[in-house]
Order: sequence, then C-alpha cells, then structure tokens
Amino acid sequence: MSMDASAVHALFFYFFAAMTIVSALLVVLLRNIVRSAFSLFFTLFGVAGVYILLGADFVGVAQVLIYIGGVMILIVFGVMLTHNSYSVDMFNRLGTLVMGTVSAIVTFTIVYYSIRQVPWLLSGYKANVPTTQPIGVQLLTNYLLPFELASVLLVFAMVGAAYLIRSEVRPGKERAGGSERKDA
Amino acid sequence: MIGLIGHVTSSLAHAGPLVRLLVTVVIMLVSAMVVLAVALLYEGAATYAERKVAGDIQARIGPNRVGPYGLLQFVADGVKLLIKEDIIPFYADRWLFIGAPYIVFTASFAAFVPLSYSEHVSVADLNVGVLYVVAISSVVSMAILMGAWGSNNKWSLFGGMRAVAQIISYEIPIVLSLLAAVILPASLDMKDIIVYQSGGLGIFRWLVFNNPFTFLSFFVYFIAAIAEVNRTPFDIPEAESEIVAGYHTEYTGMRFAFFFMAEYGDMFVVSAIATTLFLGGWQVPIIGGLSMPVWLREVLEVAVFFAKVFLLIYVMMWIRWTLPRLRVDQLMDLCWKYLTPIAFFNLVGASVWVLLLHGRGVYDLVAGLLIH
Repeated sequence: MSMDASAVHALFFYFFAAMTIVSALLVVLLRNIVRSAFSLFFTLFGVAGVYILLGADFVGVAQVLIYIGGVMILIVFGVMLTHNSYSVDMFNRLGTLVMGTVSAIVTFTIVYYSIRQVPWLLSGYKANVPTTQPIGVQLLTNYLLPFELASVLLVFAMVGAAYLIRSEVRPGKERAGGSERKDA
Repeated sequence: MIGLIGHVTSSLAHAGPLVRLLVTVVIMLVSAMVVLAVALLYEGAATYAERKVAGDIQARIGPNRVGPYGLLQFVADGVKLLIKEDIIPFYADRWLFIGAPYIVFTASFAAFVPLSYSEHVSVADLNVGVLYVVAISSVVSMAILMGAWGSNNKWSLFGGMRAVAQIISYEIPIVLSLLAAVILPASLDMKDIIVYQSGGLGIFRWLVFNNPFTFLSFFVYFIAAIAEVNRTPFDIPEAESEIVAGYHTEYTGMRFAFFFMAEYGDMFVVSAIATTLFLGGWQVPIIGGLSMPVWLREVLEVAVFFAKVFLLIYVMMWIRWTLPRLRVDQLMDLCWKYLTPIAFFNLVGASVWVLLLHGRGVYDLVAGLLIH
C-alpha cells in the first residue's frame, strides 16, 4: 500500500477522529446516563481505529477487546445498577460547571504543552508490520517487572472481588443459597 | 484484497489522488458486498438446514412447500420479515433500541473479514487475525446489552444480562484454548496458521493432532464456542420457556432478523476459527500434494474449507436438537469449574510440549520413529 494509500489513510483518520470527538462530546453532554455510557462505545472504537491507522494493530485490537469487551460492559452494568438510572438527570450545578471548566482548561493545557514538547518520531504509515511478537518480547524482557506487577495487581483485585461476594459459611449450617439452589 | 488494492492503485500512479482514493474505496465496498452476499446466502441456507436437521432428528419433515424440497423457504421467510410491521415499543429508548441490531449485525459480519478461505482468497490478511475475531465478537455482547436495555422490558433485560454474563465467562476458556493452539505456529495470522499445518497428507499435521493438549483444546474451544453463540444447550439468554425470547423479545421484522442472522453468522465464524486453528483450514487432504493448476487448487481449497465449516455447523445443530438446556448455575459451573481449569491445564501442557519437543507434533515423532 505504502504511499498510494495516503489519501485513504487520511479519509479513515478523519472518519475515526470525528467519531471519537463527537461521541466523546455526547458522553459528557447527553442527559440520559445510559445513553452516555453507550456512546462511550463509539469513543473507544474510534480510538482503536486511530491506533490501527498508526500501524499499532495489536494495540488497536486489544483496545477493542479490553475496553469495549470488558471495561465498557462493566461501566454499563454499573450505570444500570445505579438507583433509578432511567430518570437520573445529569444536571450540572453552577459550582460543578465552573470547576469542570477550570479542570478541563488545565488538563487541556498540560496535554497540549506535553504534545508540543515531545520530539515525535514521524515514521509514517506502516501497515502489515507485525507488532505482536516485539511487544511480547519487550514485555518478557525489558518490561518484565511492570508486567508482573500489573498481573499481581489484577490477582489482588480478583481475590478481593471473590472475598467481597462470598457467601457466609457458618459452622454446622448449609451454605447460604445452597438449599435454594436445590429447590430451583 | 489489500494486495489487490495496492496492485490497482500502483497501476494508477499517473492518475490523481482523488481517482486513487475513489478506486480504493470502490474496491473496498465491492469486496464488502461480496462477503455480505456470501454471508447472507449462507445464512439463508443455514436456516433451511437447521429446520431440515431439526425435522430429521425429531422425525418430522421440515420445510417442503416452497420450491423443490422447500429449498426456497428462506427466501419466503426473508420477504416475510422484510414486509412485517416494524414495532418500536412506546416506552423503549428509541436510540438504543434502533441502534443495537445494526451493531450486532455489523460486528458479527466484521468477523468474516480476516478468515482465510483458500491460499489466495481472503478479504484482509491481518497479522492479528485470531485476536481480531475474538475482539470484534466481544462487541456483540455490548450491543446485546444495548438492545436489551433499550427494549425497556424485563424479559429483554434478563436475557441481555444472562447473555453478557455467559459470553464474558466463556470468552476465558475460548481465548485460552486458542492460545494453546497459537503457540505452535507462533502467529495470529490465519493464513500462517493454516500453512503451518501443511504436510502429513493434509490431515496428520492438523493442530488438533499435534499433541494431546491441543486435542483437548479443540473440544474445550468447541464447547465454549457453542456457548459463545448462545445456542442450545447454552441458550439461557433466549430461553423461550423462561424469558419469552430474551434480549430480542421486543424486536420484530427486519430488526429481529438482524439478531437472527448475527447468530448464524457467529456460528459460521466460530466454526471457521475451529477449522483454521485445529482442523487444517483449507489444506486439501491426500491429493493436496499433487501438482495441479492454480484455479483447481483454489476451488478445492475453498470447497474443503467450507466442507469442514459446514460439518462443524452440522454438529452444532445436532447438539441443539439433542440436548436439553442447562440451568444458569450449571452453565456457570461448566465454565468456571470445568472448562477454564482444563483450558489452563492445556495451555501449560502445550507450552511445555513446545519447549521440550521444539514444536514437533505426534505425527512428526511417529514418522521419525518409523524412519529410523
């Protein structure tokens, strides 16, 4: 594809960029909290598209798998379990509006200046260069400690979750829920 | 198809960028339409086959009125679904309700893209093909939840919750079994994986026969995949005797058909993945080693690929009409207490096997013994 693909590349970039920005705006501007949660799907999907356009196919696909297949579902479940999520009105009081604007401006400034500071490596469009193997090699050599720490953290989270939802076991009694299950 | 785009655009080098852009977009659209047409035709045929298989197993006749042997039944059904009244419940969340079927269908259809149908026939040869299919299938669960919530119906919501819990749970044994197979070819590219399985009369070097762990992995994958596509005995998300029709209770006409077609599309995709990873993909058995014209080889390869996929789909139908539905707790027990530990065992075992024997499979070992 190389150079000839640049026009298509640009077209897809603007498509995904527009998708990301519009849906991100919808996430914060919609008044219906469930719709907000679902429009996050398009934001995450657009970001995955940008990753893939940058030649980071593994990261792009992992973005879809983890953020849409996992985190997104978790957020939607969380929103659905919110009390009265049908009629929660996302009303911003003046105070939160001011605070939100200030923090948005500060964040934008920080991000903008850090983008300007970094000497970006403009390697151009590289499709079909496998990235999976180099990522795996790096994770198991140079970045082994952070990788292991992240997995230990995840194990903590899993054990913690299992501990929180465990059924109470009292000595000499059936497991809670055990008798119900037989009837059902 | 990407190769084709590169070929055509480089031959149009003298043309302006706008022409090249247009040509590329047209090629992409046409290839998408071709895949869509094939997928829809398959889905039509699959609904017919499902009813015939069901009829066979339950000693009934099945469709036999429309066309010879009832073959045109699916066309009649399609027309019926198209002209049915499109009902949107008054209290539904219109955006979510309308959006969900499109996302479900698109995601299920997008999973057809990286499949390798023969040595030269594929839409896009992705480096991360296997992972891409797993990822894009996980979009389906989000869209099911979207439709379930949008319907504003308790049965829909129950069905959606069940579907998501089931799909997320069964993704773990699925990914682990795929991983146990993928470590041998050391690639996520569908074509590389199939090429790795060449030789051995086109049969014995299939990954399913490579070692005991991949053999087990195939069955773990296939069981979990049936659950992933929500088919009986794992169809609690749409269990009609409990929750009407689950997440698509409120959908009518074409919107319902989108969910329906997505289910059959998913069946094809999971069978194609099983074929690609474990059953040698488009490797032509026995006569594959002979020299033959390219077109004949391609035709044979496509035929072999589809034959294997349809065999697996037949097995899914057979299971559906034979076994009763599992309860929710049995379903979760099967996933977390049986399939997931077995899948972990397979992954560790297959890794050790690869390390100790440097990727040689049972066939290579036996052949090596016979030669010495």
